[in-house]
Amino acid sequence: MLEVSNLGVRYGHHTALHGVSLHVKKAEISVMLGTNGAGKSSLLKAVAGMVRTEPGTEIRMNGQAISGMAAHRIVEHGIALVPEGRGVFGELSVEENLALGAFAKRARASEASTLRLVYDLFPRLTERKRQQVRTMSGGEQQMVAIGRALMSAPDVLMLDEPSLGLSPLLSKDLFKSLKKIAASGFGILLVEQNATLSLKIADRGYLIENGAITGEDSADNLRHNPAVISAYLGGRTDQAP
Amino acid sequence: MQILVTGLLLGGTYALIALGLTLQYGVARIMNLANGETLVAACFVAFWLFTVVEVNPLIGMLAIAPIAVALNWLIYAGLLQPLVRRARNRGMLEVDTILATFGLLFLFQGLMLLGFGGGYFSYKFLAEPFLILGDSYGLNRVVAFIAAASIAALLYLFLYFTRYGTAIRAVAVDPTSAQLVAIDVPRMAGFAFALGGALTACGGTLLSTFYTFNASMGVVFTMKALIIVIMGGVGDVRGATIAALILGVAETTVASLIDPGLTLATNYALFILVLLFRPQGILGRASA
Repeated sequence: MLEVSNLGVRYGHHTALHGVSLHVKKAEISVMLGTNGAGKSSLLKAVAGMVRTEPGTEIRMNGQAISGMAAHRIVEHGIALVPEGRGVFGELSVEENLALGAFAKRARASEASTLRLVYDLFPRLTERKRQQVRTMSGGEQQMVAIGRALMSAPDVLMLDEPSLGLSPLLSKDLFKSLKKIAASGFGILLVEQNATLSLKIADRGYLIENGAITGEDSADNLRHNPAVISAYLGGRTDQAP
Repeated sequence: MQILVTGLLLGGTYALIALGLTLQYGVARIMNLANGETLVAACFVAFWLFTVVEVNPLIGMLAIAPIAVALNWLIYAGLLQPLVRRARNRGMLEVDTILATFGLLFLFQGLMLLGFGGGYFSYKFLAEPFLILGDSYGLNRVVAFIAAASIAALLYLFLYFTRYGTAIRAVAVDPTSAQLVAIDVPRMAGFAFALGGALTACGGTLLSTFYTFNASMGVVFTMKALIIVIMGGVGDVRGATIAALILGVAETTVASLIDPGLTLATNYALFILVLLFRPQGILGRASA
């Protein structure tokens, strides 16, 4: 579905990403592990069309080249981003945020059924349809953000640090929901600091360092990889190999 | 009582003018100092239609509004969009557009002075008494108020109950996130700017039915609209409506109880009070 090859991003003289290649498949969760400043957010923004990519970058979605397209057109090709900090419309209600999610033309036909899926996934939102989003808790706002992204009927859902600022319990719930979302057919590309939780639900993982991909493997193998354990899993062996 | 009703009737037209500016500033992020010139131009077109072609201004509005949409869109696409594209941040855009529209103000004002001279114009439309609660008011003022209220209500329904309208509010709240839900932000900003211009033009048309106007009064109305927009909270349709009614009543009160010469002074006094005590607008919340 989503294929990225040789992606590069520069901010002035600073190279944020170079030669990055990855792919996301249907109903599969891929996680991108890396420290702060490794280029994870830039990667998602570049795919979503929010930052300009370097010449030579090739991004294809369902076979069509989308690199260099404006962000609002990329959504129409089936890529939705839940940005860092959520990016919800705080002044608007839950209902309005979700309705705007389906602003994309591709989303209109399936709007009613997607809305049911979102409310099934997050029953909390059903109770708070008319509430202004900025008055809600962080966890609830994250539900709105994910719900809004799903409403655009994406093939690939990208999430930038969705567990940031959530309690461990809420994070666990959130990751369970992501697993369900993937099971209903969406491809997920996840950027996370919480390696323990994300590797548990992921199928595959990438390691990113200094703006380049340094490793790719199945989530199972990564969980038992000593380098990953020492760098991202707090040094302790989660499950002995 | 008479003061209150007169003030509210006036405030209705003010609201329409200010709604135009609040769309242009709140959604398109353009502080359009030439907003008042759109209003004056609409006054002259309505005047010409009424006196030369003998078209009722309410019907004339049906022609004036689409022309205003087209012209404002051209101004946006031709003059302002290049500024939007090159602006690195909102502050820079604000400075550039204020300077650019400041220039436009004098350009349009000059053109209108050239065409119509500096004299005062008015025409007699529905200049007959109308009774409300025993007091008589100009029928033209009552009709203007009803027309303004209807247009404002339509705008409200559009912004709050349609997906496209909600998208406009989303751009006002967060243009960056708006792209993520497939909204073409530059196009939406252009549309809001054009629609805002049309609202102001409708306000001008209605104003001309009961108000004596001249080619150089645009600035005064830009200031009034600006005061209302700040008072109501930038981009807030409901706040602007309430603020416009307050301004109408305050002006009328001071004009009839103290001196009509103090109308402008009342405007600025209110403006200063708002800036001191509610800079986020009467309905707005303190920004984080």
